[in-house]
Amino acid sequence: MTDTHHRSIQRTQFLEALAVMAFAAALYGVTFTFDRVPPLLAQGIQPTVFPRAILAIMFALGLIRAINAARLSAADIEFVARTKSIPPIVFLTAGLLIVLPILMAMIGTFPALVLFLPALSLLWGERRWKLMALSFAGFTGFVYVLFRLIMNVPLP
Amino acid sequence: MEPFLLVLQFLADPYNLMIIAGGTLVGLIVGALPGLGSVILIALMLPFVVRMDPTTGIALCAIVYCATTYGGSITAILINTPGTPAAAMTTFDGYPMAQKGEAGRALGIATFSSAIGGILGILVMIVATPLLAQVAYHFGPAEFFALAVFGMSMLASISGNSMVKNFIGGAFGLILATVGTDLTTGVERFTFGQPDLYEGIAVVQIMIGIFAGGELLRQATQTKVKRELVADGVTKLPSLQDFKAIWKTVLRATGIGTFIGILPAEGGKVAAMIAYNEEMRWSKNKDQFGKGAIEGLAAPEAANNAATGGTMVPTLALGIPGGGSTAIILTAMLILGLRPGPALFAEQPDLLAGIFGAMLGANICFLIYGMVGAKFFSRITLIPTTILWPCVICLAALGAFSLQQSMFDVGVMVFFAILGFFLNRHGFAPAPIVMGLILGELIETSLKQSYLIYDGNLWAILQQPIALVFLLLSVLGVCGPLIAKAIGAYRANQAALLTGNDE
Repeated sequence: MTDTHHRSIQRTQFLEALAVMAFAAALYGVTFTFDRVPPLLAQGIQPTVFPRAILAIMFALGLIRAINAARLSAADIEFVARTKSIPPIVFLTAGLLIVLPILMAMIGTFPALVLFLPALSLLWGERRWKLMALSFAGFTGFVYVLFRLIMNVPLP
Repeated sequence: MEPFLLVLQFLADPYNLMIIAGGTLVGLIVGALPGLGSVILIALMLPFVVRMDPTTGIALCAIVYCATTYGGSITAILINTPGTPAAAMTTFDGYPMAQKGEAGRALGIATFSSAIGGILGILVMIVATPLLAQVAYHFGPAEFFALAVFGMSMLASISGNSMVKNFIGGAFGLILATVGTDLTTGVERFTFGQPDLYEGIAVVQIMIGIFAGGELLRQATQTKVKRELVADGVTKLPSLQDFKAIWKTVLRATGIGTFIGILPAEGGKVAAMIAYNEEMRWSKNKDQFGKGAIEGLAAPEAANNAATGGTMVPTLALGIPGGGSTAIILTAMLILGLRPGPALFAEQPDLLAGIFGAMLGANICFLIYGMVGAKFFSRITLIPTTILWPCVICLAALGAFSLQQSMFDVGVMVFFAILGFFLNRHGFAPAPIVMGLILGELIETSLKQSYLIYDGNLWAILQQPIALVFLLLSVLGVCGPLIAKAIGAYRANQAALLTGNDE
């Protein structure tokens, strides 16, 4: 492994640790906005105590991780070596996933399914139209029977 | 004797047998599909289970848990892709056997080892769970606090990840558990003015998102992977010679699997790994391991199926999940108003008999399905991911919505799907997050109660013998892997020094 690669892994680990510490610190700050209650009502332990203790532990764990980033273990190096960059298809899939509830709320569940199912399938490279049509029609019917008829769920 | 009679009574009901047969079939199909597994299936089933009669619902979860664990071995043997993480070790010797034209024999050995391991594990569960629950009668808040801490400490030894990352994941889960209105004081915590968060963050939606949604995004990176069967899976009965060769292996692995399963947070994957390593260590044919050794196939299969019974022991007796799948089963029980522990044994003997009977029935059922239908289950693996996963994620979204008819819940599911994917990519496994999420309330509540009982002196917890034992075990759980690592490094250094001196 080259020095550049080694440094890049260390940087990634260090940034991960910083993110954990920043997250813990930010939420710790949020605990100051919690209401204080009279000691009698709090029964000795204010509602901030437990979250703060956990966040302090989390911050400490992040700190340990940051210190460890300087001396990487073989497992760390192997783990990072196995990790490739995220392909664009993941972001596009995540985008579609975000769109699904928006579509459900805007145009209703079944029209949303009719749009979402083939869209994701096409995005993933499926081109067998007959297979898609049959499978997704069958699935939509299954959803109707299960959620509307059997479970009586008022789908949007 | 009474639990066994209740189990037999459960199994004598035709309706229950129908549930077992149907649930096992679904479990096997899902188990055979790479990427899906018991955790995702039970998470997807939760919205339906919570609408069922509690005994049927929880029994169904237990059935699919057993069946998916076995189902994962079919794909491990025939296409070198474990259907479930617990079947990862099965590929080591199962697939080489299939390549050598012994697919049928491999499937037969896997099926029998799984069924024997599974059934023995459940028998241990039927005996051990009530005994452990009896012990729990003496538990007060201090003991429950120590027990939950012990559960969290076991995150240190979950394999394949950094200990620190597991604890960070666990802490994240604990923080998620504090979201909502504090029940003692009525103070809102981390709600950010969002009314949908007043009652806490939806556990089921997080689980569906983090497991099913996260896996969808992972599958997006593998759309080009082509799966090919090396052989048609026609299962062959193991010969008498095979039986003679593996019976000791199966018993040893069953013991390991059950014990590992009982430990909180560990599960079938760890059990299979340890059983395989132990079998290799004691075997006279070490060189055959990885090339198609039948002991190497029987050990992980017996262990991971025995672990299913083991993981249910702390879940039912103490309310501490034994693994990912049981964490979701525990959530289902809590939603259905069932509080695991000693009271469950006194008040709901039928429910427990249902769970025990369902798991026993599922093991017998998958033995039959495995012998006659492995060919069919192996073909299921060829369902294109481009068709399967869009349907899975829609089912996940609709399931997330159906619990409270809330679009906010679907948003939570999507958020945790994306978050789960990125966390997993950076080595933060979902299991510790779920453990924290489930144990969070127990830890905080028992800590507060202990504070009140001991008049503000939390050190008094250490004066309770059972609590002290659990806390010492927790320290050992955290320090154990570190000490083992240090000893290993010391020995390696010594060996290197000796080699250097010899040269």
